[in-house]
Amino acid sequence: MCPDHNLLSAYFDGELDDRWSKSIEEHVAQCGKCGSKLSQFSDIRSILLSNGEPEIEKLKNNAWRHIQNRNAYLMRPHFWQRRLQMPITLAVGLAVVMVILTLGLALSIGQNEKYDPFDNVTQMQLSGYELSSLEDIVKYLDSREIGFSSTFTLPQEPELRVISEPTLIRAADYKRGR
Amino acid sequence: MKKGSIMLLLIILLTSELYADDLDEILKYLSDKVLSVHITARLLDEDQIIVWDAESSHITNMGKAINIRLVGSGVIIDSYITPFGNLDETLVLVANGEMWFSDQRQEGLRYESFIKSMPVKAGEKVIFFPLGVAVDSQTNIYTVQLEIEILPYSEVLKMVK
Repeated sequence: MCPDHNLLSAYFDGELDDRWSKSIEEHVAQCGKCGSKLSQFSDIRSILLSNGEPEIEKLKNNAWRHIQNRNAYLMRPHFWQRRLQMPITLAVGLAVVMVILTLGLALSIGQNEKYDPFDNVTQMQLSGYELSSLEDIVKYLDSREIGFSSTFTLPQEPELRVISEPTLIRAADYKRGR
Repeated sequence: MKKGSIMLLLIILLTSELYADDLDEILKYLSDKVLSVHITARLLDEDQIIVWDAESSHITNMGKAINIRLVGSGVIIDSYITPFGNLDETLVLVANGEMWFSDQRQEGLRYESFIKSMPVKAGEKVIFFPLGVAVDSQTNIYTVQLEIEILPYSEVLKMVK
C-alpha cells in the first residue's frame, strides 16, 4: 500500500524517524508511482531554490516607514498649534501688506456709509451749477432746454411735506375711493 | 418781362403748390396724431378743499414729454408727463421727475426721483400726487395733485369751433 501525500512529503523533507523512513524508502524503491511523486517534489524544490529568497528586508523597511509616517500624521499638532517658520523680512513685508489692505478696506467702507439716496445736495454740481439751495436748483432747471414747460408757484404757506411715495391714479377711481 | 423772370415765376408758383400739398398733409397729420395735454395743478387742505389751483394746456405728440414744475415753500417738483402709444388704442402715460426738499430743521437738501406709469384712454383724467396721497384724513396734511387729461388735438379743435 502506497503512503499518502503528506507522509511522502514528510519523508522527502527528512521529517520522519528512521523506522518510517526506512520502510518508505523500501516501498519507493519498488513503486514507480511513489518514485514519480518524489521526483516531482525534487523538481519543485529545485524551482523554488532557483528563484532565491524574497527581499524580505526591503518589504520590512517599507512597512516600517509606512507605520512611522502614519504615526507622524496622527500625532501632528492641530492647525492652530502649528508653528510657522519664515524669514523675518518676509514676515514684516506680509504684515505691511496686511495693514495697507485693512486701511484701504476701512476707508472704502467709510465712503460707502456716506452714500444715502436722500443725501443732501450741498456738494452737488450739475453742468457747472453749485446746487446748495432751492433757488440754485430753480436756476439750474431753468437753464435746461426743454420744449414744453410750465412752472407753477405754489403758495408759501403751508410748508409741504412728503405724505407717501408718488402716486398715479385714475380720477374716477380716486373720487370713488373718497 | 424777360424770359428768365418768367421761368423764375413759374418755378416759384410750382414749388408753392407743392408746399401747399405738403402743408395739407402736415395739418392732417397734426389733426390725427397730435395730442393736447391739459394739466390742472391743485393744492388741497386736510378737508380736501382746494386752496389753490392753476391750469395749463400743451400740445405734444407721442413720446414727447411735457415739463411741469411746481415750486413751493421748501419744495421743488420737476415732473415730466409723457404719453406713449396710439390714439386709437390705449395710451401709456408716464410721469417721471425729480423732487428737492429743504427742511428747516436739517441742513442741506433732500432729493428724490420718481417714475410712475399707467394705461389710459384719450379723454380719461388721471391724477398724479407727487408728494403722495393721504389715505386717512390727517391734520395739517396738504395734498398736491396734478390732474392730467389727454385729448386728440382734433377733438380740441372741434371744441374750439
